[in-house]
Amino acid sequence: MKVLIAEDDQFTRDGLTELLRGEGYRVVAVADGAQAVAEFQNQQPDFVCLDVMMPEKSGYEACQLIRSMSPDVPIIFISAKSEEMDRLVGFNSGADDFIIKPFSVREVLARVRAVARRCCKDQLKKKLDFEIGDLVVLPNELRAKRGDEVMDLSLRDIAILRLLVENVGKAMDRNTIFQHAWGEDYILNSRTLDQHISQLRKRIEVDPKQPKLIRTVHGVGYRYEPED
Amino acid sequence: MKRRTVILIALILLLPLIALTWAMVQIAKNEELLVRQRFSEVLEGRLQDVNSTIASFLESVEPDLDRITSIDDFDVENLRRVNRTEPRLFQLFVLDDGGELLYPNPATIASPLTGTERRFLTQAARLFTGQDFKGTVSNSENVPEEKRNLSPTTRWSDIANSFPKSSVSRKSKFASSPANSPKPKNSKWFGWYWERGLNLIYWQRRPSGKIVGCALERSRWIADLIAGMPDTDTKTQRDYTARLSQRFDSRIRLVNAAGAPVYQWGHFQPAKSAEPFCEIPVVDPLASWRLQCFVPDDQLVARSSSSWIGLAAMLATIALVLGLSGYFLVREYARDMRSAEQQVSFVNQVSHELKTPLTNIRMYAELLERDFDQLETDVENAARKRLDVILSESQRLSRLIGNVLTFARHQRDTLSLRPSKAAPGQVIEQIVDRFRPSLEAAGIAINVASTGDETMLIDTDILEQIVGNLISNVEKYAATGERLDVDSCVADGELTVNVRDAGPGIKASNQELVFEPFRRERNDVSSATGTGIGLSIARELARLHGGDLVLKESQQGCWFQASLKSYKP
Repeated sequence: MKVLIAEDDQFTRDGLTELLRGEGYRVVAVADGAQAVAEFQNQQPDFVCLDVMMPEKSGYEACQLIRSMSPDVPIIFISAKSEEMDRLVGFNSGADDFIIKPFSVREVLARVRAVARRCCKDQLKKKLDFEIGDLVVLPNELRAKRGDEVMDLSLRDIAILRLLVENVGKAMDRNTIFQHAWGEDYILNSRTLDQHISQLRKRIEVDPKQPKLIRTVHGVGYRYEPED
Repeated sequence: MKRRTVILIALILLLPLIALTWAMVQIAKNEELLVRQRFSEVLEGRLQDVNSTIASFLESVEPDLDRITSIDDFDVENLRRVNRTEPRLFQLFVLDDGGELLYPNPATIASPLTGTERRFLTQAARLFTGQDFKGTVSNSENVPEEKRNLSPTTRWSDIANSFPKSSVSRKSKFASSPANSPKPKNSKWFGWYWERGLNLIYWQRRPSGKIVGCALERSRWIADLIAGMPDTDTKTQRDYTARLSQRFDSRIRLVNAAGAPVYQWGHFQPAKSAEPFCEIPVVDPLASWRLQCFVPDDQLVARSSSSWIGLAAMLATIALVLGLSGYFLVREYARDMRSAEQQVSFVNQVSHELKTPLTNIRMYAELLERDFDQLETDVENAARKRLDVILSESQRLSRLIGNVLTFARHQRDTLSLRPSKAAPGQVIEQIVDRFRPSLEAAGIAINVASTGDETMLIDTDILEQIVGNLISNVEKYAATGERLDVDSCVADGELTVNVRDAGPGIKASNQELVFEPFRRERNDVSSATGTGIGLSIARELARLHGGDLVLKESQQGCWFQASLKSYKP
C-alpha cells in the first residue's frame, strides 16, 4: 500500500516516513501542498497524510484538490492546528481523520489502520483470511486472532506470514522474505529482517522464546511448519 | 463584530435617544401650548383694551342721553322738538309707570304720527307689547348695586347663542340681553334687533314714574363708536397696532351677532375662512357683538418653531454626541477585539510552533524506544542521530519559549541584562553550529566569519536570541537563496553582527513593519510558520544592550545588522 506524506517540517516528515515504512507501507514524502497534489497525480497513492500549514498550498487546498481527483482515497490531516474550527475546515475539505500534534506513534498507526480498514475495504477484501497454526490472520482488518485475543498486524507482518503459509514446510531465505515484504527498492538488511521477525514473534507467538509459528532455519532464514 | 453586539450597541445608543426625543417632544408640545396660552392671554388683553374703549364710549354718551331723556313735559310737540333737535336720536319714546307706551302712540296723541314715529312703531312694536323691555326695566331697577356691576362678558355665550346668525334678514327680531343680564352701574341701556341689526335704546324713569327712553340713530352711534377705534390703515393706526401688538402683526375685528365685520383694523389680512385666534364679547349692551383677534399662522409657527429648532438642535447635538460615543465605543471594542484576536492568534501560533518540535521530540523518542527494543548491536549511530534530533528540537523549543518569555517580559518592562565576559565570535559560531544540521538539510550554505576574538561584557543569552532569531528567519523564509553569511566584529567596545541571505528579501513597504510585533509579510496558512515576534524581540534586545537592529539595503535577500555595546556597570 502506497502512502503520500506532505509535511513541511523535515524531521516530522522523515519520522513519519520511517514509521509508516516500518509498517510495510511504501511512502512518498513531499514538503509542500503543491508537491503533494503533483505527486498524488504521479504516484496514485492509496493513502494521504497532510499537514495543514505548508508553503505553496495549504493542506486544506491540497486536500480539496486531491479529493476532487479521487473521491475515495483516504486522507488524514496531521497538524498542530487543534482548534475545533481547524478540524471542521479539515473535515469540510474532505479529510477522513484529523490527528493533532504532538501525537504518539501508536496513535498514528492505530488511526492509519482504522482509516485504511474503513476506506480501503474493497482493496483489502481481495486478500482472504488464512490460518497459521492456531492463529487466524485477518488481512482486511490488519489483525490476527487467537481465540478471544486480538492483535494488530502491519501490512509487512501479514506479507511475511502469508509468504510462510503459502510455502508451508519450506525454508524461506532472508532475501526472498525481505523482497516480498519490503519490496525490491530495499537493499537486504538481515539485521532489519531479524529485528522485525523478533518483534512479530513477540506479538503472535505464545512463547516468543520457543516460537512455533515462525521457526528459524539457521543460515537460511525462516519457516512455518505446522505441528502434528 | 458579531451581529448581536452591533444590535446591542445600537440599542444602547438609540434607546436613550428615542426616550430623549419623546421627552423633548412632549416638553416642546407643552411649551407650545404654554406659548399659545400666553399669546392668547396677551391678545385677549388687547381685546379687553378695545372693550374698555367701547365701554368708555358708552359712558361718555350717557350724560348727554341722561340730559335728553330728563323730560317731565310730555307734550307731544315738546317731545317732537327734542327729537328733531337731537341728531343722535332716532326716536324718543315715553312709557307710563305700567309700561304702556304713551308716545309715540296713535291712540294717545291726537295729531298724526310722523314718518319716523311710524317707522319706529313698526319696528319696535314688540318691544313694548312683549316682556323683553319691561322685564329688563324691572330687573334693572331691582338688581342690587353690586350685582349690576358684574361684567357682561360672563354671560356673553348665552346671549350670543340666543341670536340666530341670520338675524339681519329677520324683521323685528328682538334679541336683547336676557332679562336677568347684569348691567353696568347706572347703565340703562337696552339693545334689540331689527332689520339693519342691533339698535341701542337708552332709558330712565322719571320722578313721575314714567319711563323716558330714546332709540339712538344706528349709523350715528356706530360712526361715533368707530371714531374712537384705531384707524384701519394709517400711520397712527400702525403705531397703535404696533404698540398693542408689540412684536407681531394682527387684525382685530368687531363683528356683529351674525359674524359680519362691523369694523376692523390691523395690517394682517386673514383669509375669509380663517378662525380667530381668540375672541371676547363686547360689553353690554353690545354683548351680542364680539371682538375677534386674528394673527398669522406663521407668527405662531415662527414662535413655536423657534422652540422646535432649539429642540432639533439639542437633539442633533445629543445624537451627534451619542453617535460619536457609539463610534468610539465600537472602535474601541473593535480594537480590543482585534487585540484579543491577535493575542489568541499569537497563542495559537506559539502553540503551533511549540507543538511541531514537541511532536518530533516525542515521535523520535518513541522511534528510539522501538529501536532500543530491537537493540542487539550496531545501532549506535542511528540512535545517536535520533538523539541529536531530539537535542536539536529541544533547543528549538527552548528558543521559541525564550522568545515568548522575552516578549512577555518586554510587555511587563522587566527585561534586564545579565552580562558576562565572553568572546562574541565564539558564541556566534556555536549558535550557527546548532542550526547547521537543519540549514544544511535545507540546502543552505553557511559562511561564518569573525574578526578577532576580543572579549567583552555581553549578555550571551541576548546575543544568542538575536542571532538565533535572525538565522531562524533565514531558515524559514530565505531557504531558496541557499546561502547564509554571518560575520561579526568587535570594535571600540561595540559588537556588530551582520546576517545576510540571498532569499526573496522584504518589500520596501514592509521593511519597518517587520520589526513590529505580530507583523509578518504573509500570515495565511500557505506561508511559513512563525509567531511574528522574532524580529521585534531581537530589536528590543539589541536596544536593551545599547545597540540596535536594522535592515540594511541589500542587492539581494535581506541584510540585518545588529549592534550591541559592551555592558558598562
